[in-house]
Amino acid sequence: MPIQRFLFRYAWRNLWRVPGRTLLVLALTGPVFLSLLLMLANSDALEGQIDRLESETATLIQLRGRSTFGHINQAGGLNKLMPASIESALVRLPHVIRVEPYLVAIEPIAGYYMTLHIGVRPGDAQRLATHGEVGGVDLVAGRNFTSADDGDDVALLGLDYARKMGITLDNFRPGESMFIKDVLRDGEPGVIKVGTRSIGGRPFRIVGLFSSGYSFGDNQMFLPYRTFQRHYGAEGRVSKFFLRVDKAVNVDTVTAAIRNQFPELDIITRADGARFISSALGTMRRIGRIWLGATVLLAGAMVLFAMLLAADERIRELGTLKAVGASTPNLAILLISESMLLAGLGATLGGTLYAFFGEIIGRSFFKATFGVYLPGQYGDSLLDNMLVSYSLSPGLVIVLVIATTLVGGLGSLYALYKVHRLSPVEALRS
Amino acid sequence: MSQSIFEMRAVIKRYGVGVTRIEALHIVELDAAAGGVMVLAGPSGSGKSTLLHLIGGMDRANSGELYVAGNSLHSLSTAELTVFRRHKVGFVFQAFNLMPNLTALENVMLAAEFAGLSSKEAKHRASALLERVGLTKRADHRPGQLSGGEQQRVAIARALVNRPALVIADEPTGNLDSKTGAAIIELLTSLKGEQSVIIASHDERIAAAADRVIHLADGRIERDEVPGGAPQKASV
Repeated sequence: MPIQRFLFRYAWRNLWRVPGRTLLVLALTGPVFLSLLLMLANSDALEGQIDRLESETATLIQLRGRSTFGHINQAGGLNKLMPASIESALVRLPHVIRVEPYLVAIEPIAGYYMTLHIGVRPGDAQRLATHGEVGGVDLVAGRNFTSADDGDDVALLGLDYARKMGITLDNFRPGESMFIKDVLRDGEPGVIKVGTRSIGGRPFRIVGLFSSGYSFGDNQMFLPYRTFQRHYGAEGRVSKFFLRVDKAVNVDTVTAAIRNQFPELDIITRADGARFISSALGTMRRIGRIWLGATVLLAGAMVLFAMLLAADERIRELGTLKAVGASTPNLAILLISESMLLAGLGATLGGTLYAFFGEIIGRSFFKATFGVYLPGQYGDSLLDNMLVSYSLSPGLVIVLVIATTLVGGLGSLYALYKVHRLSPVEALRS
Repeated sequence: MSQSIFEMRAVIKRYGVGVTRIEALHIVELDAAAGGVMVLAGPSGSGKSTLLHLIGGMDRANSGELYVAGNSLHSLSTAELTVFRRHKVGFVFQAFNLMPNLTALENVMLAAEFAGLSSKEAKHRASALLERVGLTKRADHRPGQLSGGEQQRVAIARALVNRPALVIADEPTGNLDSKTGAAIIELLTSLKGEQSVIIASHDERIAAAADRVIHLADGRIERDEVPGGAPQKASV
């Protein structure tokens, strides 16, 4: 393959004939490739959310008292909740492999903010009171509950909730105390002033911090089940039951059995509960894909423009090459090599920027792209909570190579067209 | 009777379309013996370059038959013409037309690599030719670092690297001073016997050194002469 090597070397030198232009193209394509990588990293995290949602919800059934959200301190109070005693009947239903009772209270805090306090058994999934069907949250500091914690005044706090309490990942010390107004026993709405930790009530030890995936989720707090019952006086009542069914195909059978035995309950399955989230995340997935296509087209257009100028400027030279024996495929190799090298350098620059600055600008990029399409409560913290990795993984490198090939191929189209039609005589006359 | 390097019959080349269409060349019959030096003379626009391009396989005639080095160019495909140019013809241009980003050695090697020679063989041949044209010490210089005469010598070396049957030169001294031009004429005419050489030129010194001079005017042969001898053929 001597001629190919020769042409590749020649292409590399040609790239630097007009260094200013090449540098300009790199300055323009580098950030485009960077945005491609950032979008891929963010899309991967979103895909993970969707996968998690789908796998978690396909075999999950949620039960609530008729026409309630299950909050123990809602209008109608505890009477509207389900009796805890039905758990034994639910456990006996065919195809049901796990039953998890769940308690939740809604708490106003300073200003118009609301928080949710949730009681779960140690070992059960720590589902958010909103979009809980997605499954457990991610513990990002401290430890999780153990069976020994059930009944103790310990809590797991969402990152945003913690932030309002002046607790961050940097200053968090496991076991730190926090005071929460004893809402029901005092007979008045609980108010926790943001930024203070000593407004009456019972002290809780914060044993861990979690991240959920969005802002409202991060304003929630988990308590051990018995602790919650004791704190809110909710013994004998359950806000929700989460039932895990052995296979997705059996969900309808179980649902029918529940409807038969407990007609007073609301039954929420994946089709009812998860469709909204799945649809929202699916929209973002489509946005991600459109972005990927757009970046390839944009970078391709930049390289195409540079190659267009190069081919026009060097038309006489290309004619000479034809005159001395270059075939059209020879010249195509030369021009595609130039285009690929230009795209490859842009991708290298984009990859380097990503490796060094991806972490820093990834958040802003997320807000400027996906964030625009997210409801307000998601916008600020979804990315934080998804814990996206901005490392240049082998998978991203492969995508970058594929994108480079596409951009290089696209960028060389005009020059190839020109060469295909090139008559050596006309080129030499030009 | 010596073998012909080319033969053409009833060759017509036109440019343009409609009312702007002009007949740039009309040769009823012309041939040339192999191994000689033929000069195409005539004023600008007389058809010298057009004739060179047709013989060199860089352009196609609108009609007629053209045989060069055993190839019937009028019936070759575009790809076959490329192969023909690669192996049978060496070109020397007025403006040298070297690749500015390649060294002198690489410029010569380039044509050999297009012809499928290994890098080693291409380099060997290119080095030998640069030595022949007196540029061994300038082999690693790029065209921009060479004088006009040196560039033209590199172009001649490039034209010879595939050992073509025919070397075609279009105004090879047009961009050179008189002394340098003389050296180039000497170099080109020294190929006589090894290769057939056809040169389009206004330079009377080249005509004087040629075996045969074809005078063209308005795309037709006006006079066909052997320098120092009587005209061989009437114009057509």
